[in-house]
Amino acid sequence: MIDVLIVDDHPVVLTGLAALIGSDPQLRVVATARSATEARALPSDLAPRVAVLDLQLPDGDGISLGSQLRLVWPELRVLILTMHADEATVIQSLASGVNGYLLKDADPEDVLAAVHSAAGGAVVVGRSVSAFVAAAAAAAPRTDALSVLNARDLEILELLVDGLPTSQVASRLYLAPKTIRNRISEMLAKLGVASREEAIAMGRAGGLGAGRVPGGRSSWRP
Amino acid sequence: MVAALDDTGVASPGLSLEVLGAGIAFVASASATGLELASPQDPPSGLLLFGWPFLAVVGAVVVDRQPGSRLGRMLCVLSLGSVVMVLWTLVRYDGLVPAPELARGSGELSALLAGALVLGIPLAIQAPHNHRASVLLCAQVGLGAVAVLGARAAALPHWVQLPGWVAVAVGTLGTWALVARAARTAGRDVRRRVGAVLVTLGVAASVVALAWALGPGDAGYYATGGALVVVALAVDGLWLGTELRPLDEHLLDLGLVAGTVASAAAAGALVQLGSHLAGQESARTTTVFTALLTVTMATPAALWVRRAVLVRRYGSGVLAPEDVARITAGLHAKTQPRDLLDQAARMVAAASGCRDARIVLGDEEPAVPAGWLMHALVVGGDQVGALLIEPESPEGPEARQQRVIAQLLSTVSLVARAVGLAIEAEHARRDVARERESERRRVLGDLHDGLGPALAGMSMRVQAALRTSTSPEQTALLTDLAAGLAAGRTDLRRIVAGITPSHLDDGDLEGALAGLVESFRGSTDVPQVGLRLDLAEADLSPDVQVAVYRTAAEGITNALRHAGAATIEVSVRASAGRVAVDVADDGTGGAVVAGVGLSSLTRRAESLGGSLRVCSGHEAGTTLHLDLPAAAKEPT
Repeated sequence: MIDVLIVDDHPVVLTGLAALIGSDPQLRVVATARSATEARALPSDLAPRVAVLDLQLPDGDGISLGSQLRLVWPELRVLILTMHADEATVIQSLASGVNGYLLKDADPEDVLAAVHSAAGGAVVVGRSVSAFVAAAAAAAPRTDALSVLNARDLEILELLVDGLPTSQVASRLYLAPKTIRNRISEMLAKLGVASREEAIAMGRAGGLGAGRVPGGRSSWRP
Repeated sequence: MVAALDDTGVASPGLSLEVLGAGIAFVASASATGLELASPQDPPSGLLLFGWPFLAVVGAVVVDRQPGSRLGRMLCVLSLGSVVMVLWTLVRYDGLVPAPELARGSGELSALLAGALVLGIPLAIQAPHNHRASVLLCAQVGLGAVAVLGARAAALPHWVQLPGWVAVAVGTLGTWALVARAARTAGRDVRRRVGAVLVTLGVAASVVALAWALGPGDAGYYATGGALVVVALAVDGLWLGTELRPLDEHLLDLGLVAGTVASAAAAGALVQLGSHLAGQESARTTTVFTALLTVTMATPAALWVRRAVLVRRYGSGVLAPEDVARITAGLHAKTQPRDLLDQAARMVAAASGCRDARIVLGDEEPAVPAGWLMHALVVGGDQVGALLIEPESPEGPEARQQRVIAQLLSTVSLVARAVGLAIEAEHARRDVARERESERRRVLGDLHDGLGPALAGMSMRVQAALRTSTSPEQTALLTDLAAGLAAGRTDLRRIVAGITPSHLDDGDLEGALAGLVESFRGSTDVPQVGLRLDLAEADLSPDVQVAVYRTAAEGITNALRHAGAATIEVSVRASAGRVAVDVADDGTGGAVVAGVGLSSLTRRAESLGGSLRVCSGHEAGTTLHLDLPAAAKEPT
């Protein structure tokens, strides 16, 4: 009998996983947790063989939680289960001693097989991990600091990132230098920064410069 | 900052004392002249006095325009010269005397007064910087005049007068030189006035001198009277006119008139010569007629030359309708509407003969380079921009150019407004596109993170229940549920994969396509998706990459939904500046539905200058074919 610990903040997934793993006669769910804190508070005599951990937990990530749990239970095999994945995370988690990497989207049989393999000490990588990487990364919500700016602001910020002084920005855009100065101060207020240099740094970080304007490319033009 | 078109000042309201005085001077001067004209002499000695009353009229105009003007007062005082001359003859000869006596006496007085005019008018317009030198030169002229008059009064030989004449001439020219030098550093208007006055006086004095010295009989009388009138009219024109044209334009006009007259005279002379050589003298009317005919024919040519010179200097003066049409047409065709501002500015510069012009948008005062002028561009009471003009002369454009610019301002304002609106529209379009994209990402993120785990969890529960199920009905139900959930998960995966993946943001089309095809693999109930890429030498623009990716995604989805195919083959090839995408399946064919996705892709392909075709036969399955130029033209 293999003892399994499940940590996932998504209730439907948690219930589903518990039911699935419980349905296997050789597996037994000894504990479930909804967060990293909850998992760390489990009694140390529980000693599960396999931990199925969600990558993204409300108070931490599955990889570091796995490392922490392994300090308590050195024999523990860690299986990361996630909806989000990119190649860097996969490599990083495998490098940090995680025994397996599975996508929640995987077929139930694959999940059970992975738990068995992990218990046996094998390294498991989900069958469609690489397939899922692209889609998952695409759907990842982007935190774009420049999204508060409109196209008019971006036009100016891009020229600033290119290193042009106010007078040249003005002549490029056929505007008066005073207009440019006013718009730059409006832009600084929107970005919540105090100086032009900070705004330029943000613009550079946001991929501006060298003739690229976000939104200017407009991928969704019909 | 718009320079005033009229720099001659504002006429003072009512009748000033000065104008009244000028009127009295005119009446006195005209009465004296009339008295002399009425005396029955031949040649009429009144001809000598004929020009003086005109000076009073001009003086009145000048003091009316510029109260307290030295020039105006001087002209009024000098106009009394005819009174002085009449009084002088009355005192000297105790009544009106026969013509030769009066003519001689008043001729000398007239020369003195005219000399005062020749020196006084330039000095009144522009005082020389070197005051002492000018006083000395004037004194020299005075002494010279006294010497000449003395020699004449004493009836000495003519050559005795010569040193006096030389002193007068040298003193006059020296004074003029001093005035001209002072005027050089003064404003353009002063410069032109002084130039015009000096040239007029010089020509008038030369004509009068030549007429007296060489002319037959009464030519000196006519020349003196006429020259005074001409000088008076010229001074009047310089003050009455609203614009002072450059001196060379006046000279050009003079030259053209002279040329016309000369050609007429030449034609007349030729007729005379021809008839003389032929041995039969022609009637005078023939000669006159020929001369008049020559004038009639030479005038249009002279006008053409004048116009050509002026257009060369000041530009055409109009904005051609086709130019305006080209600008407005460009608004639709260009993605950089700001380029049109340069076009419009160049047209204004060409039409007004200015060196350069620029248009700046917005209601803020732009930075005006030194030597440039700014005109506000206003539409409907709102300032929409500014027109910056660099005139050829640092002292500003000529009045003619000012008028042209003023006429063009309304058109330029509309152009600036239209360009401003086009830029705003472009900004709005980009903002909407950005918002749509981020909204799409948010929705897809919610689907992926919210619906995805829920479906996965339910799948696991159903699978768990299926393992422990004992009753056949329950097993059947759970099997159906498991299949439905699996299909739902596949659909979700496709929806998420259908959006532009992050690879494309980095310009990695191959990676994006590989990820796309991979996302359709793995499940058991779907056909094999193959991918063939040949993009080695392609340099695809971002728009083209997105179009290629979305066509491939739509093609695969279509084949999966409708075709019932076993294999789907995706092929992307780039060669010779074009890129071709084929999505071929071996399904039933004939099941193509031109849905929203397909028609949207077709529009996208057309906007990029390419085409999208669907070939569907019952035997060979369906092929989706996209053909695009690798570097897309700017979408309209």
